[in-house]
Amino acid sequence: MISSHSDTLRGFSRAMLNMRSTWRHHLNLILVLTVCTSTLFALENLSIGGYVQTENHVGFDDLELTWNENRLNMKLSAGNFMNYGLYSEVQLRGFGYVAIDSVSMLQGLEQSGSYPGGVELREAYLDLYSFPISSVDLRLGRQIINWGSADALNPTSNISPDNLEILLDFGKHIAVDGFQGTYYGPNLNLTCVFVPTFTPTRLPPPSYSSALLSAFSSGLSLPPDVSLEGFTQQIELPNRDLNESSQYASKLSTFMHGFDLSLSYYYGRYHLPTPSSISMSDSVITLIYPKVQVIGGDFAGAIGSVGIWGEGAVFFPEEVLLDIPGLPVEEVLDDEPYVRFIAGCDYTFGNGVYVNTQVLHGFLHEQGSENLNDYLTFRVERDFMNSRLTLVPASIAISVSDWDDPSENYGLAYVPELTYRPFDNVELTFGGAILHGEGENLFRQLKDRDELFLKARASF
Amino acid sequence: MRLSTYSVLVVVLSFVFATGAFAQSLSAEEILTNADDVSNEAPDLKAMVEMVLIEADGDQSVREMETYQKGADSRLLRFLSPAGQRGIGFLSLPDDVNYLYLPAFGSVRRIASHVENQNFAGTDFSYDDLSSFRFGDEYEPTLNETTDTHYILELTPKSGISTDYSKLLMWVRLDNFYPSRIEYYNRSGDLWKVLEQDGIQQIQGYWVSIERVMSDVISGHSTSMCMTDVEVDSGLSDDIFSQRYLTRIQ
Repeated sequence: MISSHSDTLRGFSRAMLNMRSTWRHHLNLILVLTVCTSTLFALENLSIGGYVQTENHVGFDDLELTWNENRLNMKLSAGNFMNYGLYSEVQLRGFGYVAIDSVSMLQGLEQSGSYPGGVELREAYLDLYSFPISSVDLRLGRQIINWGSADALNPTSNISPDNLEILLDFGKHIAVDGFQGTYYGPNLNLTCVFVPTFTPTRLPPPSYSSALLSAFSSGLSLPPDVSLEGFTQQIELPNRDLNESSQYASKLSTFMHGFDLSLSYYYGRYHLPTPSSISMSDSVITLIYPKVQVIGGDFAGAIGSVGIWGEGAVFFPEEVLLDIPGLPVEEVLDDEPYVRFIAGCDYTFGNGVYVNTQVLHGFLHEQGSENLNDYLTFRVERDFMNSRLTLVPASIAISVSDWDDPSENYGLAYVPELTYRPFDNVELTFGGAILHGEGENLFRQLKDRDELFLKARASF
Repeated sequence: MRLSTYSVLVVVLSFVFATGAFAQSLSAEEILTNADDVSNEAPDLKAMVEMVLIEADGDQSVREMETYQKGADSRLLRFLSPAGQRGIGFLSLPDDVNYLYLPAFGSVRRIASHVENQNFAGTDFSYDDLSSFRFGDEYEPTLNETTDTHYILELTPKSGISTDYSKLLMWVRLDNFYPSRIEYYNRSGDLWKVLEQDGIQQIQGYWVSIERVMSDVISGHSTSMCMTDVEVDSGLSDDIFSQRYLTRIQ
């Protein structure tokens, strides 16, 4: 591993403390927003809603509490369907656990900010419909852009970073601040996106992040007497100028012979960091976000009544060399193009059992032609009681990292869950995650993280 | 008020057939064709819909949505409530091309026709039931009986048609050919669901049922659907029935 667990934990704690220091500022912001809300009722079709959610995870073996989150989510939308629309989503949450190690911190908890939490503007954008010409729609502001036809794991969706906060809850994204315009032609649509600022991927807590980040360091060939234990990880963000921090993308899409088809291009950066230099004297590892170009394509349609889809992308990364003073320069990300792809199908049987399966080459976090593994996902789902109860008895992901010896190089994640909706707007989800594996792969790295989770949400 | 050729035809036929003089002279195919014509007569329709889901023990929950419909096979549905489902949209296009928009994911997902026999959003209506398709395209009719007020047709699926129903019994009104009741039988031949279409009235010269109740006689669950603010033949643009409009904020 690049750094020790405690070091990463310290980094995480620092991040949480920074979050706390702005807590009061955020509350003031909410007050101002609340006052401003009164002026919003003049908007057309104003709608204010959201949800309250609590989510808790506990480890199987040691009963360690691994996730504690209480969230208030507020959504505001308005518009008139033909001319414009606006949407905003704010999230206020208490997150993590009380961190107190002195009596003084107990004295005036609110002031010391010992209860972690934060406010996040998840999305805030303005839509202009049929503007400036009737065949063009514009979206301006903080927005989540999700491309691709596959289920949750999309190689062509590279604009909005992945939100890997809850690692096994794939398919969530973080908004980016940018501009999106779509031209709707008679047979072809063209979408163009420009995002001037860089937004990195959000990582899960330290014990999970290490599984993701170690993927980059596993290939390092350090001398036997060199250990990176205890090193601090330091992120180097791209310079805040259009050359370095911006990303742009375009997509052509059409409908042909019963299939939705699209071709896309992306220029920007990986949203997960890669080590670029190590300072042995300062015990610091510097990580950067390498540039990358992606050409992708996807389709979705049906054969008979079976839904099918496929998606593939060729990645053209920039080379990243790891600089360790006194040691030969090592290539941690080569510039050789590589392909990630996914194909899947789904079907609902007459008895209501829904089945969804996908095969993919290259997971969300895997970069470089030498680091791609093969995966199979399989999900079975059935509704009962007029959709009041949803049972997912099987949600499985299997990975193989070396086909020459699959019995020693595999990973397995089994995530069953049960969702019950006792009333309208109330949803209770109970589930578990069982992880197992051998060799070098994501699920093997998490195999000691088996857990149960409970999530309750009430929408308003 | 602008009447289509079909409207004029229906009015004339209604008068003639109300006398009962020629009631027996129509074949089952002709009756079903007339019923399909009347049901899909409006070139387009826009309405607010309130669905009330009624449990076997009487508990109720409400879904509100807006619906846009054009021709026999283009429909856009968008949920307004409950809060947890607000913004979810469903677009149904010809040739079994369906899309689902989930605001939480910010993306449109293609849905294959395997969902058509599944219940829509916990209601007793399947996706197929909500589609405004022509029964004559998928079922072979036979005339079982003619009463003082209705033709009673028995519809069996044509070969190659995938459906969970083994047969349908359809009550078609003598006076205007509007189907007022449909019984759906499962593959075992047992009565499964009953659709009652009430509030049948002319809006802009087109016959429309604004109150529909679908009852699942096996589970005891039922769903009533009431349309308000109905606008017919308002010249809805084809553009509305597109992914572009499915994702728009309202």
